[in-house]
Amino acid sequence: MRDFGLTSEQILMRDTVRKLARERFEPGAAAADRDRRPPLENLRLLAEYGYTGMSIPEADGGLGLGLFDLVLMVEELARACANTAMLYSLTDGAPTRAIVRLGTPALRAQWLPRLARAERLVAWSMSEPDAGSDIGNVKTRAVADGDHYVVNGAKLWCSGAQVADAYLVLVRLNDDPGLKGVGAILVDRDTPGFAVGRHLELLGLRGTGMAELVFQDCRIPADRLFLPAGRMRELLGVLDADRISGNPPICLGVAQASFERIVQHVRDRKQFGKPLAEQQGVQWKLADMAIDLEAARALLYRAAARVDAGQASIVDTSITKTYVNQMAVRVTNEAMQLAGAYGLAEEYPYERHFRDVRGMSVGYGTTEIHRNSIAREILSGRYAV
Amino acid sequence: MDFRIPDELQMLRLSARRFVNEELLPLEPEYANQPDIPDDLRTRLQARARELGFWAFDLPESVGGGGVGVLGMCLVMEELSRCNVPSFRAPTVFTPYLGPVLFHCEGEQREKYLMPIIRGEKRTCFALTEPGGGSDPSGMTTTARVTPGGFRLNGRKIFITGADKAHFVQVFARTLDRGEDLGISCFLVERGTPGFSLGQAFELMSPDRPWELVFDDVDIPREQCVGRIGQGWELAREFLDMGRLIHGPKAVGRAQRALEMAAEHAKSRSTFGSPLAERQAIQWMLADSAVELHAARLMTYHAAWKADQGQSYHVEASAVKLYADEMLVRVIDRALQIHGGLGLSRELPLELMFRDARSRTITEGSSEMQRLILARDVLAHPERVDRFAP
Repeated sequence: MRDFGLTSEQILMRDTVRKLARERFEPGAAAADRDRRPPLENLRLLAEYGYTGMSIPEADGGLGLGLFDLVLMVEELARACANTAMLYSLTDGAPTRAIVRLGTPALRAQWLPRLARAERLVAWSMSEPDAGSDIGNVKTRAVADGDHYVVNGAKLWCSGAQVADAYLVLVRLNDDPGLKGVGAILVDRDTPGFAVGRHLELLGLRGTGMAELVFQDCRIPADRLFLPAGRMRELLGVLDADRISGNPPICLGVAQASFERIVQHVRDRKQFGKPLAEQQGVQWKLADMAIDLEAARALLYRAAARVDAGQASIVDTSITKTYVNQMAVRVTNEAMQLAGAYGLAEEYPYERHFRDVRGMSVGYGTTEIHRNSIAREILSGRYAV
Repeated sequence: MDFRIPDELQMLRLSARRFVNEELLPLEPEYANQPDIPDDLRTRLQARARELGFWAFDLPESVGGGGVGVLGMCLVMEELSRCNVPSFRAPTVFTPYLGPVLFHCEGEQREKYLMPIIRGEKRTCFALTEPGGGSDPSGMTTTARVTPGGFRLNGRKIFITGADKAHFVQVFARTLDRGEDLGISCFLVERGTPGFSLGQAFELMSPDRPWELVFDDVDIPREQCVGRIGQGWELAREFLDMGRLIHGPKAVGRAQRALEMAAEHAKSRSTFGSPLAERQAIQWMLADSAVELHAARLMTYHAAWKADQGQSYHVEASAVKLYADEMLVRVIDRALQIHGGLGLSRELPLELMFRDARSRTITEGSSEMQRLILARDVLAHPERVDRFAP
């Protein structure tokens, strides 16, 4: 049995970040959503305090910490501002981990120290109109032409597109069927033939600068090929970690924030002559929310700890993501309901919390796709409790 | 038992559908996210509706309406609700936003307040909710003190939809005569009356922009009280019953559209080599939505039928609002999930429909409030849950 207690360093980091985020990030959280403005200054401030580059090795200028620490960090950021927590993945998300694990020494030296200080931001781009979780269907094409690749096509749903300096993009390199023909390129923002397209407005998480990416006869030097065709499995392994450290802690942090706020509300709000908190129906809702939050946190912390212990598994990832996603929808939904019409008003955080977490059941693999994975593992006999 | 809808109502419904397809759906890209459509567009659409004979279709023939009854009203509302323009809480372009209270106008009140609304010349709104309470009359703190000429109003109302466009408001206040509590009464207060002003507007997750109303020593003459003094809560309940029943067809029409979108997308979108529609998990989502939608539709028609028979539908209205609104949230949620990232984006109206649907289990009496009403009824008369008992 592993001890889930946090180390004193982790407690110190969590409490310091919580205070910083509450004082500096939370006041601007509503405006980031309303104005669709990525709060980049928050990343700069985190870098100033030395809270970026967590998963980058110390030798590359980072803190060399584990996924568990990253989960704690993202959860705290999301409690104050979900958009800030999303943007954090531009310095410490899938592209960063991909460079750490798969990058050449030259690439590591070029990118990691600057990513660690949030001086450079790299966005991850996978989806296309006809390829979400079905990555083998990627149609954006990179064709070799001398010492360059010529890229044509379009990408959808790229978080951070409007503010990133470079993009790690999945492209089709040859006609081998499915995943076999797909690889990845690293594209600088100012490459001729490359453009950040339309801003994509979503239900929630509106302050991440999400946009489409457009490639029109975009010439990329051959040495910017990040991963040749035939090795996608290696890159997808990196993405699995992101499904633990990127998406679920945002849901957990937002749900926790909504819960704490509504507990205060039901204590203060009187109806039919007594506080809402004295109504049994309301008490049961609070109890269910607490059970849900605790269960989700236990699952998430355990999944992160297992990755750090070298015991990552598909089932852990998929069960954790699915459960935490759905927990967050339930908890923020109930908080909004308990707040009554105030729950719907933009002056209060409840409706934003709800909108922010709902899309998380769709992004990073829908909860349905993750159920497919879980079922596959169960039926293949690889899953044993 | 005959579940067929009369032919003339089916015809009405079909022509309403044609109007929605030709006149309203094309407006969605521009106006779907707005609390209301611009005044000039409203004037043009209402004139078009009048030309086609729709105007005031649901109102009694005695005031020049079409007299199609509550069931007829529900069928047309279903069609109108397929479209996100005008928004759920804005008036339709087929009939004025009115409610039952103004039918209690008497004598000169009728010509001054009721008829201009029916003719579409003026607009009104309904002001019941206060900062301290929505569904709880005992907590009402807005007061109307009896004065020699009439009444003096003081207090605040919040979350009042359409207040910015209203020529007069129907406001509910505790009536006091030298300290004696005469109960809740309903008053008509005209825009521009000294002491009456709009406070802050509330930005909501749904396309609705309700207002705060402030009454600061507002003097009104005796003739601006509707119904009897102390009859206010009865009038408010009449309004709320009809308001809650109308949640039924609105939810049913909107859910029908979401389900059609989901089925269409499931058939056209292929992943991993086959259409979503061939996947059993998706099929189950669609089946659940279809069953729940049908149940809500039947409950709605039954409550409407009772209202047309002149029977009380107070409890049925609560059940319809509770079930139909929660059904709508589930059906749209599934449609959004089936659409994946596209469902979340503003390219499609689904994310708007989702926000809109979610707001409806709170406004006009939350789901919890309906459960309270239903539980009281069940505990008092469990046998009446069998609506068809001999």
